[in-house]
Amino acid sequence: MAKCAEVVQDILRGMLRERLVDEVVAFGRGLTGSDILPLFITDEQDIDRIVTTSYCPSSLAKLVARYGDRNKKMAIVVRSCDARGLVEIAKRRQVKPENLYLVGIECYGVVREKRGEVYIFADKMEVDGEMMPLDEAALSPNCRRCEYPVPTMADISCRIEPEGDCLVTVNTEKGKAMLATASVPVQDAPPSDVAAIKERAARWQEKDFGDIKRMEPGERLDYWLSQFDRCIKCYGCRDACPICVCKECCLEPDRGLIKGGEYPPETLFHAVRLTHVGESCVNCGQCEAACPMEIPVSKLYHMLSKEVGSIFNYEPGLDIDSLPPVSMVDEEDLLKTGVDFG
Amino acid sequence: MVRFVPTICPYCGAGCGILLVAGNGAVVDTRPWSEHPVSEGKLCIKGYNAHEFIYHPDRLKTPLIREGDSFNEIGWEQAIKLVAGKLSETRDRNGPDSLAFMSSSKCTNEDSYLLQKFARVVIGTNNIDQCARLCHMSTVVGLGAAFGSGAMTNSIADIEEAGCVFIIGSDTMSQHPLVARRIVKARENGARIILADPRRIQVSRFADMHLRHKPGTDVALLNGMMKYILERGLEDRDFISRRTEGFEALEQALADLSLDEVEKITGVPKGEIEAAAQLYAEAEASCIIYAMGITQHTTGTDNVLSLANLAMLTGNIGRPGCGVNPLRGHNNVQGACDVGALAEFLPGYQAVADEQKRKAVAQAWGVAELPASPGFTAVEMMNAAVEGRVKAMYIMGENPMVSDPDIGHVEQALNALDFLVVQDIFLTETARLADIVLPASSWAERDGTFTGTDRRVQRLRQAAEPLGQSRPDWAIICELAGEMKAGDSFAFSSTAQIFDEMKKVTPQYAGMSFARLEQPAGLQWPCPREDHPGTSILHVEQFTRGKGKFHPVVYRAAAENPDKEFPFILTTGRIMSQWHSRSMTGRSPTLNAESPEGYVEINPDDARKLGVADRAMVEVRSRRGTVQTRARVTDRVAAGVVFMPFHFAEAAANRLTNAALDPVAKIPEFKVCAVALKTVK
Ligand code: SF4
Ligand code: SF4
Ligand code: SF4
Ligand code: SF4
Repeated sequence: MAKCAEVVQDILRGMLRERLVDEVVAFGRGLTGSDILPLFITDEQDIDRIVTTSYCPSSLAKLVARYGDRNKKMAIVVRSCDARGLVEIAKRRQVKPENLYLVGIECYGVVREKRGEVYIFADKMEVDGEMMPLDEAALSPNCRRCEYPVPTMADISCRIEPEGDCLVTVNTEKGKAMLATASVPVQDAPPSDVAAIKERAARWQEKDFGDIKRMEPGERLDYWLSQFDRCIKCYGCRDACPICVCKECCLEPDRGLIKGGEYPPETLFHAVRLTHVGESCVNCGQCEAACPMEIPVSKLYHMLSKEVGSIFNYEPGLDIDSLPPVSMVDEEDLLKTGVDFG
Repeated sequence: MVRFVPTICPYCGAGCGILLVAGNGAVVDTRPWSEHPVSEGKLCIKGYNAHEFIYHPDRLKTPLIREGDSFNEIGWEQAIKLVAGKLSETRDRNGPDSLAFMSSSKCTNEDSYLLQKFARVVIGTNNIDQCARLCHMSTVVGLGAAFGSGAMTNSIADIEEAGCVFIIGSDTMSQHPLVARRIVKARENGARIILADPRRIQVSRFADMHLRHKPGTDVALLNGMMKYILERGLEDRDFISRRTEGFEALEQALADLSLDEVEKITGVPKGEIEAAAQLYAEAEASCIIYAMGITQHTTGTDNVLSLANLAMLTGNIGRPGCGVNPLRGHNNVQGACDVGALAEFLPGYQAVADEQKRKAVAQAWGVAELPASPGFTAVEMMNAAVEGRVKAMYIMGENPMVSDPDIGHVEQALNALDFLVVQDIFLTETARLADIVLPASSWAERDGTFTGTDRRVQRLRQAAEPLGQSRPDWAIICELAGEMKAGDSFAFSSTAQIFDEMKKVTPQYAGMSFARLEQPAGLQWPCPREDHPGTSILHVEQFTRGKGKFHPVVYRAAAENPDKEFPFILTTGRIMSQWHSRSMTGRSPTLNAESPEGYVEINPDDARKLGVADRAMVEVRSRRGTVQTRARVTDRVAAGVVFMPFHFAEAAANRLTNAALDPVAKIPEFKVCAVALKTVK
């Protein structure tokens, strides 16, 4: 049985029933138990399909920006990176924050390659009902580098415990109203201990970024060029990215920047997206998960946003009022991050 | 509110899973489908834009009838009456073999199955074929002879297990990108990659070796590799003796071969051939991947047989990470063949000439008899039309006016017919020549099954209602059959019902049903029983035909070679963002914008000699025709070779190509012909 889905389902059902929201956006079961698909729900009956497993095949933030009606009230089940993505999208005026009701789920990582029904906790994991020590190698690479397990920017935040309890924290006034409609008793949760996660994130950032930063400049260039040699310009990375919400994208052939029909595309293709997304990357990993050629793109973007963020003292996705230092990223900043290709 | 409907990409044979995004009764977008075992949440640019042509204004919404040079709209009832009347009349007056049917590798299994049944049962002819004839018939025939089954031996995901991947005649990165991904992953796991291709395609950027042989010299190259393997004793004697027959004949045939001679024929240095042979033979598991660069030759069957020889010689069959893996072009070219849309085969590759099998199928269909002699194949149909032997033709979802070789000849054939019906989603170049045009609904608007290149039978799911008055192809065929008093054999009201009948006469599909296919992975054939899990690797214990059979092959030159008048070899192919005749991609703004027009790739040395500048207009001329197109000066092609994508009607490479056929598979030689080039003022 899907862990704690009942509590989350109950909160969402209540919100739909009381017309607090018009629509619910979450992940749910598809053709089979292991098939997880995004769901846009307006009918209470479909709430049963919602799952809370540690497997998220796409960025709900992006899907809301792409298919949602910004004038409708929407409840969205979010992990931290989804919530941060939505904050960045709101800054770009693609969603109206007042219309969003965010039901957060604390997230200690999701798996990229599914092995069954998986739940990830701070130091253990459950696979098809069996508890075992956490295998960090099973986590999506961006998740290993993630230091934000708790979706503090969501209106409420649910913590799923290994034993099966669901502890709910209210973060905003809106959150109070959301919980008022729930018919299950909700407990107030003590703050989560995120020290272990911060340690893990630091360790993996050091490994992933350090490996690249320690390369000689020429070697580093060769590394990225050889990765981009495989690019087939599917635009999958852009289409998965919650930051890339432009109606007209500079990467398209009619914009005159990147030649159409050339594979691999010029390195500029990646450099342009990098400068555009740069400081706002929320490390959701969706670009890399979408890349058919296994190019470690999210490593590159995360690294850049970290570097630039430390220069400008900017952390994307946390605060809606702090605007990204857009257009402040120039070649010199790129150089500092070690992404000094072409 | 949007819904995410899991279905299958309509472009290539990789068979990726996609989610069609449907909102307000229409399809609005395409997203990747994570749980799908082939694509795993990734797609290529074609898959991402699969929805773009669905509502193009050119979609046919009503049946059309020719009036002089233009078309008028007519109602369905009238259209069906007219078509049924004409088909009956032609059959009664000139005999069943004066009609010919062209099915489609783009349509569903259910569509192709019904059209071949219609041809055989209602009309009484085996004149049914489709474009598999033009792409992989040499695979069906060649691997059929060597192994007993003409399909990809292993699975797409299985390529990751290979220790060596040998890619020959496949531009995998652009034509089967989600198969190429597995090659990338194999390489990350330590596999060595050998590419054999006349062009410097994207795979060459990360391949360990690139053998750049001259177009049409594959047999020589492969024989050279086998010769070296035997010389060095790298063959798998145990496998050869336990699992195969005919080895001595191969040994004899190779005895006198000299690698110096091979070097001369192929243009590949002897040392490279040896190194490639060694890599391939010594890896724990070696996997061969090929596509139309192997099959579309007058020696197509020989090429395929040579690959089968190479794999058997080294014991690379029946285990994970090895095998002989043809990548089928269209989304459902595998399925169209499986279900019998072929002139010489009933469903399940049961030869029409085999009396016992024919009787069994006739019985299952409730008819007294079925036509016994093989019908006209795709190119033969056109010849027969020119000769007046075929009077009426029914073309479902194909566009031979762009995709066949020697289009001038196709045009002559179609114009010579008394009656031409074209059933399609657009008014294609072919449909413009029709007497009646029937509007079909698109793949997003219906249910059914597609069979991917790795024999994976998968469910298509309807995401929106058919546009205008368009109807699914199978439903149109049922109507026609009813009008021709054969309604009893065509009383289907759903694709599930058609599938249930189809599996009874298609042994490979016997254990499948729509209910069992209701899972992201579908089922891979053979799946003989209801409790059978499907088959990811063929020929594990024994070959489908029992023992694998070596067929010694001697190198033959291409049908047409460069000479003084036509000094260049023209080879043709496809490019990333376009698809075949562009009837879909040309109407998908995102895809078309990538490469909106045709071109010819010319090596810088040749360009200099000819005085051709990059992007200048050139005239390309062969014995069959002339086209003008833009030059792309690039070292992707070697000196003496030029390449043209065949998608573009206004610069149609197939006005130039040679319709010379492989003697067994009847596949035309798209990949080699001789041309002359000159600048256009
Ligand atoms: S660049 Fe990649 S990791 Fe960063 S926000 Fe975009 S999709 Fe997520
Ligand atoms: S790459 Fe740049 S222009 Fe394109 S969508 Fe992303 S941010 Fe916008
Ligand atoms: S997803 Fe990968 S292959 Fe596709 S455009 Fe991005 S980097 Fe290139
Ligand atoms: S690889 Fe083939 S099946 Fe997959 S998305 Fe691309 S065209 Fe479609």
